[in-house]
Amino acid sequence: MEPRWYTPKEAAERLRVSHDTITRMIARDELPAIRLSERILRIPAPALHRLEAGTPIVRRRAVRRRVRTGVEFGAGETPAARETVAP
Amino acid sequence: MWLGAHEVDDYVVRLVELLERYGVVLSRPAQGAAIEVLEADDGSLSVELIGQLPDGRLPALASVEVREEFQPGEDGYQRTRYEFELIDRERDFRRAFHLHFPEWFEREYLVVVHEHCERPMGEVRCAHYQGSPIRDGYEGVRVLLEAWLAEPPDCAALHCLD
Repeated sequence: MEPRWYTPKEAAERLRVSHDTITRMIARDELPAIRLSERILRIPAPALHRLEAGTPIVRRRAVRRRVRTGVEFGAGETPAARETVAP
Repeated sequence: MWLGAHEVDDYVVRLVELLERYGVVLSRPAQGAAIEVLEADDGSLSVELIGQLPDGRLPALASVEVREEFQPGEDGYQRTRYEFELIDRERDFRRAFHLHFPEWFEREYLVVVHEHCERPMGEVRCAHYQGSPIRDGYEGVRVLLEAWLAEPPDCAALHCLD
């Protein structure tokens, strides 16, 4: 089982860079991190692994598709609620 | 949240980018595929994104789902519905943040948005919890990642609406 997250210190060790470099990468949004509290900053493992692998993020394009009805919402919602939008 | 027609497309492109930056492996849209924005007969635009947070297992034990809908109005498109879902099978919980059927929720509970929390999954002690509005999809994705990275939720600590 792979770890779910890394601390900035652990990320620095994995990438073989300084802690300051990791801090800068996070500040520049080059490395996604989630702040859980003032003191706890976690780097999602999948994000770090993607960076380590050098997998580029290729910008997708959006295409429109005409449909009768759009995405379904509230699939598991209370039936009474769903009835409010029934045709 | 009002967006122009083309801004909706740009927005979903950026949302997919954000998910992929966090390492989410998307199955909808498939890897490398274009993002489908559904344009319904009522003029609404909607999008559905589904993916997994890779953990070394196949299939991965955590999945995320994002659904958003925009209705046309005088100033462009306004986001009218959303659903952000996290299923964490490893730690056996579900968290969800919803805005849908607002008229019903307003009538029943005097709220527009609500949340779901199941731990263990399938054990629904409360059908709907009070929630805070999710400003946009970027915040929604962050909230899902927070839930995945933090300790499993204490559903009993949330405010039950039912």
